[in-house]
Amino acid sequence: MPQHLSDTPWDIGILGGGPGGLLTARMLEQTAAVPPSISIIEASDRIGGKVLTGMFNALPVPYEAGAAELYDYSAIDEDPLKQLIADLGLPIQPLDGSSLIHNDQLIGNLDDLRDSLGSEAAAALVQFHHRGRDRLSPREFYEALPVPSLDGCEGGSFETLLASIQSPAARRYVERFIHSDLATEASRTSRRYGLENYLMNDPAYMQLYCVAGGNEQLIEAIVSRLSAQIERQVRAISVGRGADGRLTVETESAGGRSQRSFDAVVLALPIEPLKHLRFHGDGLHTAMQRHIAHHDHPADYLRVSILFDKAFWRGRWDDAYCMLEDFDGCCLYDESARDPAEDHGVLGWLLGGEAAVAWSQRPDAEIVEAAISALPSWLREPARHHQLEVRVHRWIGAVSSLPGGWQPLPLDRRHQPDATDHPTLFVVGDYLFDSTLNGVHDSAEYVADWLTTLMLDRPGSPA
Amino acid sequence: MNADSTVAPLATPMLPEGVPAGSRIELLPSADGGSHALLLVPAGTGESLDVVEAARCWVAESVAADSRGPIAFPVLLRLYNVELAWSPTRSAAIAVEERFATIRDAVVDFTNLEAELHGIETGIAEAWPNYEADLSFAYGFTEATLGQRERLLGRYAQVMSLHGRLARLTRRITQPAPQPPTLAGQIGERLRERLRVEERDEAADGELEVLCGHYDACGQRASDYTIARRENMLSWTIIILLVIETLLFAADLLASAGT
Ligand SMILES: Cc1cc2nc3c(=O)[nH]c(=O)nc-3n(C[C@H](O)[C@H](O)[C@H](O)COP(=O)(O)OP(=O)(O)OC[C@H]3O[C@@H](n4cnc5c(N)ncnc54)[C@H](O)[C@@H]3O)c2cc1C
Repeated sequence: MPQHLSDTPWDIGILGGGPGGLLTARMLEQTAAVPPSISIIEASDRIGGKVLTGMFNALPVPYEAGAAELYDYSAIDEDPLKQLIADLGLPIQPLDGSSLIHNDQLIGNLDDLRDSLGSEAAAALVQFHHRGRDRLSPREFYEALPVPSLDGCEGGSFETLLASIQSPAARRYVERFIHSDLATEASRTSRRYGLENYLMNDPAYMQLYCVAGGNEQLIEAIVSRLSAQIERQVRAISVGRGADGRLTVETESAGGRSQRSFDAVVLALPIEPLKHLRFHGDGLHTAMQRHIAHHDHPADYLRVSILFDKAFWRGRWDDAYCMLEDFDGCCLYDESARDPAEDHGVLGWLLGGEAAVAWSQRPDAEIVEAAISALPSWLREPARHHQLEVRVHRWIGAVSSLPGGWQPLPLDRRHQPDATDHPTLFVVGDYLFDSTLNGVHDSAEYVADWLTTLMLDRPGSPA
Repeated sequence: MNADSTVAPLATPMLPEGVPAGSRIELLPSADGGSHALLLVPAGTGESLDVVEAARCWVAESVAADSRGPIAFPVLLRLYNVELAWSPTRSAAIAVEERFATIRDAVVDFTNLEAELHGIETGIAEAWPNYEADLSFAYGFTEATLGQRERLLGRYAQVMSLHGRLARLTRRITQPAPQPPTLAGQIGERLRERLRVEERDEAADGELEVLCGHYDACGQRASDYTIARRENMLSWTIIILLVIETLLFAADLLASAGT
C-alpha cells in the first residue's frame, strides 16, 4: 500500500464505461469530500455497455437492443436506481404484461389458464405461487436475506423446485414464462434465482418500467453530468503494481500501448472481458482467477427487433410484453408501447439460454423467420406484410446465471478480490448480485462508499 | 350505490342494434336500491369493429348524467379476451359466455365501490359551503351564537360518518389484486386505475381530515364556552350568596345592637 500523503486528489482508474463504471464515477464525484480525478477507460467506441438503445435506419425509431426493463422495488422500500432516474429528470413508462401465448390463445390470467390448460394446471399454479410466496417474502427478496431452503448447497437447481409442481402443463407454463428472464435453463440456475424470476411477476415483489424514449438516456444523462475523463476505444489489457506502489494499468488503443498508474482501480467489467485481462504478480493473478472462477456462470441472450410500418397487433394484444412458447419460452416486447406517441410498430424477441446459443449461430434471415413463426397465427401474416427493417443482436455469454448450490461471497470479498496485497483494487459488476442494472447499481454504490471512506482517511493522493 | 341518494330501479333497456344474437342485458341490483345495466355480448371469432362500437355507443347513451370531473365515460378496457365499456349506470362486455359470470361479479363489485366513493365525494362537496359558513365557530362562541351548537353537532356527525365510510372503503381500495392474476382481479384493478380511485380516495381523505378537524375544533370551542359560562354563573351565584349572607349577618348585627 502506498504510504505518502500529498495534496493532490486521488487518481482513480475505472475500467469499463458500462453502467457499472459510470455509476461508480458518478457516486464518487458526488460523495467524495475532495473529488478524485477519475479516468474511465472504455474499449469500444460507445459508452453504455449492455444498455443499448438502437435506432433503425429506415426510420428514426428506437428499440432496446440490450437491457430492456428496469425493476421497481419502491413498493417494498427504497429504490436507489429509480430515485437516480427521477433525480436525473428522466420520464419513465411502466411496462405491463402477464400473458403467455399458448396454441394461438392469450393466457392472461387464471381464468384463461383454466380454459387452456385445465383446472388441474390452474390449481397447481396457484399452489406453486402461494408456496413460492411463503418461501420467499417480498422483503427477503428485496434485501436478499438468506433463506436456507432456497440458498446454498441444499438449495439445488430451480429444476428441483419446478418438479414440485404436480401438473406437467403448469410446470411447462412456469418454465416458459420465466425462461428468457433467466437467460439459462432451469437446471442451470439456483432455486432462489428461478423463484425470484417467477415471483417478480407478482406486483408485491416488483413492477417493471423503462425510461421513456430509450434506456440509453440514463447513460447519456449520467455522462453529461460527469467531470471524469472518458477515453473511448482504449482497451485495458493488464493490471499490476508499479515500483512506486501505485496500481498500473496497461492499455491498448489506435495509438499503441501505454501504461498509467492510479491510486485505486475499479474493474467495472463483466466476467468475460475480465478473463482476458492479465494480472501481474502471483498473488493478484491467483486472487483474480479465484474471483473469476467463482463468478463464471455465463448465460446467453439473443435479441431480434423488427420495425413495422404500423403496430398491427394493437387491439388484439395491448401489453408491453408477453411470453411466447417457442424457443423454450421467449419474451416478446411491444417496443413501441414504450413511447405512446410512436405511430410505427416495433416488436422485440428476447431469446435466452440454449435457444439463444443455438440460434445465434444461424444467419439473421433464418433467425427472423423463426421469430415471426413463433408469433400466434393471427399475427404472423401481418408481421410479414408490414415489416420494414430487422436487427439481430447476439449476447452470448454476456450475462450471468446463478447456479444451484452457488454461495455468494460476503460483500467485501466480492468487491475486493485481493484485500491484503491490493486493497485499492476493486471490482464492480451485476454478476456480483443478480445480473441486473439494479444489481450493478448496488455494486457501484458499495465500492464508491468504500473508496470515499478511504479518501476521507487519507485525503490527498497516497502517492 | 350512492348511500346518500336512493335511485329508482331502471326498466331493462332495449338491446342495441348491431349486437349479435345471444346478447343480453342484465339489471344488476346496486347497494342503493337502484340498478346498473350490463350488456353481455358473446364473443365470436374476431369481433367486428361494429359490434364493439355498438356496445360502446349503448353505454355512452347513459353517460350524460354521470360526472366524475375530468374522467370521460365510457371507460374502455381491452383485457385479455374481454372488451369492456363501463359507466356508472351502464356497462357492456364482449367475451366468451363462460366469462359472463366473472365479468358480472367484477362489474357489480367495482360499480358499488365507485358509487360509494362518489357518494362520499358528493357529501364532501356539500359540506364545504357549511365549512366556510362555520369558520368563525372554530375561534369561539358568544351567547348569541351558542344556539348554533346543535346544528354544528349535526355537521360534525355528518363529516365523521363520511370519514368512517371512507375508512371502510379504503380497505377495499388498497387491497391488492389476487395473484396469480384472475380476470376479476384484472378488471377491478384496471377500472380502479382508470377511474383514479386511489387518488380520489386520498383526496377525499385529505378533505375529510380538514372538515373533521374543523368541526372538532368548533365542538371544543363550544364546550369551552359552556364551561366558562357555567363557571361564570357559579361565581356570580357564590358572590350573590355571599352578599346575601353578609346582608343577613349585618341585619342580624343591627337587630341585636338595637335590643
Ligand atoms: C440482452 C440483454 C438484456 C438485458 N436485460 C436487462 C433488463 O431487462 N434489466 C436489467 O436490469 N438488466 C438487463 N440486462 C443486464 C444489464 O445490461 C447489465 O446488468 C448491465 O449492463 C451491467 O453493466 P456493467 O457495467 O457491469 O457491464 P456492461 O454493460 O457489459 O459494460 C461493460 C463495459 O466494459 C467495456 N469493456 C469490456 N472490456 C474492456 C476492456 N478490456 N477495457 C475497457 N473496457 C472494456 C465494454 O465495452 C462495456 O462498455 C440485460 C443484458 C442483456 C445483454
